[in-house]
Amino acid sequence: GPLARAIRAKLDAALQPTHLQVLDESPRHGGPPGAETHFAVVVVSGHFSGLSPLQRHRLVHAALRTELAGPLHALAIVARTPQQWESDPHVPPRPPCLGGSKHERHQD
Amino acid sequence: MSRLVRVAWRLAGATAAGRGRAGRALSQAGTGTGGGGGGAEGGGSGSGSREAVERLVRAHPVVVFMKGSPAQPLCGFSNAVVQILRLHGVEDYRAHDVLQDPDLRQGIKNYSNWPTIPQVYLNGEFVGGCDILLQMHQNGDLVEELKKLGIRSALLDAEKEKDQDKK
Repeated sequence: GPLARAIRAKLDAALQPTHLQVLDESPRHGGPPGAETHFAVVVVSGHFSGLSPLQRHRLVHAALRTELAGPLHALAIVARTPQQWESDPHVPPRPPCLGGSKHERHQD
Repeated sequence: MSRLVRVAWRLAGATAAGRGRAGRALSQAGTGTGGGGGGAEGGGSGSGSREAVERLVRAHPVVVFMKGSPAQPLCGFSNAVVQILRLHGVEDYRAHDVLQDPDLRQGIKNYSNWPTIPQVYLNGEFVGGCDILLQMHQNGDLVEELKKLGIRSALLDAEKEKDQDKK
């Protein structure tokens, strides 16, 4: 969808990833397919070298600042350097949704 | 070491029943938003102001801002944080339900310059969200950070028992 494309474009531009996965996980969080509210990204980039996990995630947030201020409600991030990805190309299992969005009184 | 690496997601509910002590949300104790769901307060002295948030993150070595409560998380990512802390035997911590307090929800995002919930603070310092806590759990960093706070992770005792069994 359009948000997925925007996310991909922004991450490509900001981080020149060697590997990039952008997954719309909204269906796993109670939304209809294509809702584009909850995303998971796997970003492999040399830019992450020497940075703590917190710093890496902040780089990803910075690239997606506009989206995060808007429709992007949740973002799961895996951020690795190319060396780390080569030695461990696996992503940890995602926690199951507990329907949090349904408990919101109104959109945030 | 396998227990450190694999996290089986357990949903809250039956296992959490009776753990009433764990993290009663301070925002429910009347920090200024009054009764149920009252109107949003303005900036300065509201529950989302920098000063108010600062007080909350410094109130305890382990502070979590989440959706729902430790006994009843309302979001998978928030539940993940609760489960990880539980694995380490950390049951005494401050948990704040941002769904109960829109001012706090926005305030905490401004304070940490972090766009999402949950948020974990150790010793008043922002550590990250669910993904980062999971990483720290898997690579052993969380055990170390808890040690610095004077908290002995339950996983250390689990490891010790395993070693003793081997002898």
